[in-house]
Amino acid sequence: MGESVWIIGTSMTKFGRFADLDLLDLASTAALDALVDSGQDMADIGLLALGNVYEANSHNGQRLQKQIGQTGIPVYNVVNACATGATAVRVAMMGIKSGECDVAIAVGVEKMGKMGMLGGAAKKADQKKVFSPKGRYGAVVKTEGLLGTGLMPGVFAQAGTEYALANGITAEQFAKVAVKNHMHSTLNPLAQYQKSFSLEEVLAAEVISYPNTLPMCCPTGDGAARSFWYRMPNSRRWILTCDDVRSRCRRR
Amino acid sequence: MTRSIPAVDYLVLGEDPHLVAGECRQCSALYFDRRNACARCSTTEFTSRRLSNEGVVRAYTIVQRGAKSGPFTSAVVELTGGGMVKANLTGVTDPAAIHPETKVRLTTFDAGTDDNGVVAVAFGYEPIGA
Repeated sequence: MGESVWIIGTSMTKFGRFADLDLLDLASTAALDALVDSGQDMADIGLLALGNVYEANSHNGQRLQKQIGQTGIPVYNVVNACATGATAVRVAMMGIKSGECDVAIAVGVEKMGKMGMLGGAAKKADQKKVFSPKGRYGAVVKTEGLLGTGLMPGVFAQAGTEYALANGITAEQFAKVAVKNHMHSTLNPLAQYQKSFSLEEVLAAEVISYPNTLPMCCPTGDGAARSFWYRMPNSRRWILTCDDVRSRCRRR
Repeated sequence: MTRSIPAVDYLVLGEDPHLVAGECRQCSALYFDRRNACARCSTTEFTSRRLSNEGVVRAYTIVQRGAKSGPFTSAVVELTGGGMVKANLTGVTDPAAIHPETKVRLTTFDAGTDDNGVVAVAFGYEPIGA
């Protein structure tokens, strides 16, 4: 279990809203590009891990195999909220570490464009409205907005204000994080938006859920990333993944 | 006479509206939802416990854009004597009005009527002495 696992190839699509591309287009693009980056052949891959949340009941790992080949190898479809792609990477790494295969591939892919705010429960249209307790809280009405908010901008705003009330943090300090993050986006050609914002612009933007203004919230978007991991016989195994990680590995 | 029903089953209506929680028999952890077990100690037995109507604001956000038209303030309230509950903070939409240890008290309000004329009653919190 002590042997090294190497990241030997990575790729990522641009993030954005791609009406003409489905989940498999994005996953295939990232996978095939990472394959080229790794110098491996698809036939060498011994395990596929695919992370996806919003179409998770569609066995997308198998659907991806149908597109790019290597059907018949073990495939793992994983869902783990924000950590879904990272969990796919972990499954690939554990497959190699356990000796199941020498080369594995991990994919994270999502189509989220125009999904709106995340976290709201689906609203059911009842024929006749008759209050009766439902669910684990015995609710008779939809509680979002009635008993606080559970939508993502509000959830994280509340996490932030809990910290702020306890530690004296200001809204301006939270806004500075967004300023820094947007500055980083200008250096990343694959980012969904590449635009810098001044602190004044972030603070003056439309408030979504105080203290979060619009540029402090994540856009929903589409995108995929892929990594290949590989183990060298006896000493190293590989996985294919992000460039910076691989570079560090190779320098070692 | 208008019939009413609590918006959620952990709200008890009547002359003295209050919240009740399920309390773990072993570790006293409190829950508002129907539980299969205690998340802290895995015990499966619970008793019912009445919670205080007063507490302090631990976290909040003022929603401008959400599922319900804003602004309204969502808050997490730490109740005196135990219990952490999320609800709306009524009458407050200015962040400057919320400080550490802002004290609040339970209040109820109508949250809609069904086709049989039954009124759903929900709860929120209002600042004490504001």
